[in-house]
Amino acid sequence: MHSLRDELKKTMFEYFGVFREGSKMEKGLKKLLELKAIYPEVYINNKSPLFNHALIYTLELEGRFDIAEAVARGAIARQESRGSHSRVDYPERDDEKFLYHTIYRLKDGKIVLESLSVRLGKFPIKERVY
Amino acid sequence: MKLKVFRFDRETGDSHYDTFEIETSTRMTVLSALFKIQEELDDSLAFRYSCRGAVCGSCAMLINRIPGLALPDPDRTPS
Repeated sequence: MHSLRDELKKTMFEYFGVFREGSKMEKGLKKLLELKAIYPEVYINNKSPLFNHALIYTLELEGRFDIAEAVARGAIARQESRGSHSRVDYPERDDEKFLYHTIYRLKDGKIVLESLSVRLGKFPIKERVY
Repeated sequence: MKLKVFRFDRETGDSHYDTFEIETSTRMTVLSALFKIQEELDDSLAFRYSCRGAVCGSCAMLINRIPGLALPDPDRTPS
């Protein structure tokens, strides 16, 4: 269990870390799905119903895989750089195509990426410069 | 490093000390030592923690008979 969790951590850091790149992320997603496929084989020896950290970590790991996949697919779909999502292959922000919130949903056990338009307030849409 | 840890089982009322030997690393905390024991030696080891950052106080325990957090005090340790 712990080794699978560490592998997941390593994969996410390496392929979906600070600077992201399309083809690298595709590789990362493949690796991620391979790891996710191993998850059902995780076995816990500790059967205690009380304060069972091993069970908690294992259940948490299932959620982590879902989150990781959401991050991965969302990042691959967003072909621009915005905020902390920084892609070396798309260094510019693109309001034409990507001015929306990415919604990640499970529909009948299948993963769907949806988008939700941004509610624009009093601030004009413009590139942030520092 | 050897850690002698007090164990208590609420169901059976059994209480005793267990001794674990682990490899230490620099800037390791008591909390991370407990995690290491859980991962490598005994996954039935249970302890309270929450924030991992010396903020919430959940990991307060007796360490060498002195009450304290299983984390370094951020005010007293150089970060």
